Order: sequence, then C-alpha cells, then structure tokens
Amino acid sequence: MREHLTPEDALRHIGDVERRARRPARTTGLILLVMGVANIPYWLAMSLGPDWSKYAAMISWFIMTTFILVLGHRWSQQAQDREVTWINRPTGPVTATTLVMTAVMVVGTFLMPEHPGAGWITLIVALAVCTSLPMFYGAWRILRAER
Amino acid sequence: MSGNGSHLRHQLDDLIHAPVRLSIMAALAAADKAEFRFLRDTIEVSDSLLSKHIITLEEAGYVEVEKVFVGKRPRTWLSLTDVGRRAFQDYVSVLKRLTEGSP
Repeated sequence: MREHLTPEDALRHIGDVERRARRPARTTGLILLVMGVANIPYWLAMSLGPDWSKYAAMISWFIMTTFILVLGHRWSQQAQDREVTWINRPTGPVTATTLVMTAVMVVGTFLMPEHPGAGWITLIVALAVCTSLPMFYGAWRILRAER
Repeated sequence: MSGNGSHLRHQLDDLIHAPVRLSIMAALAAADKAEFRFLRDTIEVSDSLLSKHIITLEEAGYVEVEKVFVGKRPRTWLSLTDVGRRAFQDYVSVLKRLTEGSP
C-alpha cells in the first residue's frame, strides 16, 4: 500500500480490511441462517416423516453439528465479535428460546397421535418454524452489524 | 483538493493515518477482539511490523493487549480501547467530510 494515503484510499482500505476482519462473524451469521432453514425440514422429518427420513435427518444433524462445533471453536480462537458472543451466551435469550422451543417441539411430537389430522400437522409445521426463529434472529443480528 | 479540504486534512489523526496502523485500527473496529495471528493474516504484514505498530498504538492508549494461555500455548488478544474506538470514529468522520468536500 502507498505510504501517503488519500482520503479516498483510506476509506476504501478501511472497507476492505473490515470485510476481511468480519469474515468469521459473517460466516457464523450465514451458518445460523442455514441452521434455521435446515431445522424446519429436520423437525418435519422427525415428527411427520417415514422412518428412513428420520434416520437421514439424524445423520445430517450429527454431521452439521460436528462441522459447526469444529468451525466455531476454530474461529473463537481467532476473533471475537460482540454480536456472536451475545448470541452464543448459554444463558442468553437466543440459546434459551431455542432450548424452550426445541422442548416444546419434542413434547408436541410425543403427544401427536399416530395418524395426525390436518390440525396436528398445521401445529407441527408452525412449531417447526417457531423453533427456527431464534436462529433467524441471531443471523439477522450478526449480519445487520456489517458496516 | 479544496481549501476547505486542506483545512480538514489537519484534523486527521496522524497516528492512525499510516497504512499499517490504519489497517490495525480498521480490523479491530470491525472484529471487536482479534488474536495476533488472525490480525497479522488479515492485514497481511509480518509479525515484527505488526508488533512495532501495536506498541505505538498501545502507548497512545488506542489498543489494549491481553496475553493469555490456552493450555500451554500463549495467545495475544488485541482490542480497541474506548479512546481508540472514539479516535477511529473521529478519523473516519473526517475522512468522509474530506471526500464529500472534494470536487
């Protein structure tokens, strides 16, 4: 880089560095978004799908969780973002809401009759979407912080 | 640049208005807290050059250096102080005024 920066150069350079420095946070936001989207078919398969889809959902969940844990650990050793730290707090609202919604979803799946009617299916779909909402919120908080 | 621009230019913080130090400040403003090696790779400088400029910014009270051990591995975490964050915001604000004032 040139030793004497013009104001335009400096602003452009700040933008470039910020984009690179926020890469771990941005990727965490995108992962949360993907998790939120993947969570809906996961719960639908687990509660309404045939047996083969349950196994496929469990294997996919295991692979995805392992990948996220490894990646998350690696990035936490490199850079820390305020929003990511807030979202990852074990007692924070995103984690707590996710756990509560997951518990509600599990209970709903157990209470569901063997041959659910339209009402039950609607309820399960609504619950599956609600379970993803904290992840969508987390992704939104991280990604909107892009400067 | 206009006369008004020349006047504003004097408000630029010389400590920040140097390529490597600007990179450090911009990266820390964006990442909140960064590990030494991540910062080095992000701004593409050598260990020694980064250390040299970190010391300058630390002495100015702009950067906080925190040394920790993860197991037996030493890690150096860097972050902006409140003074440093304010200085960087002011610097960016002057830059924007300068570019807006350009013909």
